[in-house]
Amino acid sequence: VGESEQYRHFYLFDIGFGKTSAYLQGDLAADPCWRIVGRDGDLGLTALMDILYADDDQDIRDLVSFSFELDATARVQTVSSGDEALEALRARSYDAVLLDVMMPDLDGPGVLTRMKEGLAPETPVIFVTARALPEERRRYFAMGATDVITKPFDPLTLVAKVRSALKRPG
Amino acid sequence: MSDPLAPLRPRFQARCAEDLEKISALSPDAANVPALIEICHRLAGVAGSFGARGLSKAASAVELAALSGAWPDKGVVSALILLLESEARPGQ
Repeated sequence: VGESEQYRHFYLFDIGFGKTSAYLQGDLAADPCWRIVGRDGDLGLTALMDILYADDDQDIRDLVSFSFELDATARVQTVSSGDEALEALRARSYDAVLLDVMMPDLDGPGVLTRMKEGLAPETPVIFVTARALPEERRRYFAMGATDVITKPFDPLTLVAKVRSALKRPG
Repeated sequence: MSDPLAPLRPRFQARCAEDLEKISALSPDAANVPALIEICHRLAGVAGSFGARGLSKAASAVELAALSGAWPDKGVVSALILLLESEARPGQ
């Protein structure tokens, strides 16, 4: 552990892991969004997927939190309204925002509109909705949504689905 | 095989009981259709994630029927109520 010109705090982790040893360096104090993740005996750096999720249904928010707890390379902050989503987006940035479509007051499409107007125009948005008829899906994509996930979703595969949607070219 | 959603199930059962109570309290007329749609829309979304696919489909069927603006046929609502009772009071 030391200091360098590039990083305020310099950390060197030498990890014996089977035939591989790996190290991670970086300013973890300023950028805690990096973790070492083991995969099949190998070690690699995987960026932590940082998600904001807005849904007015407490049970759905619990399910989503549960889904993200299963994956060490992803984390979620849940909020219960469109207005709370805007507040969270004003406070910091996220890798993506997942929005329930039907919420009282400011709904999912309303949040997306505010984001595109300047709050977070580049942040990918995925709608999560129980009503995803083809014409509705077309409307969401036309608004700039990255993907639409249909409820009910499988909580055991939700994070993989989100990751896959974010990797697809826009 | 253990149920990964076990910690969340008591809350889901309680929700089913609450939704059952809310739907049963609605008199079957057009003025109550928006409330019925909202309950069923939310229920359809959450029930399937808990593996209650029959309940999710029944809630969707009521929501779809109610979107016409009229109270749905008694049979469609009754099917949903039966499934809600079964989820809310497992083992009875």
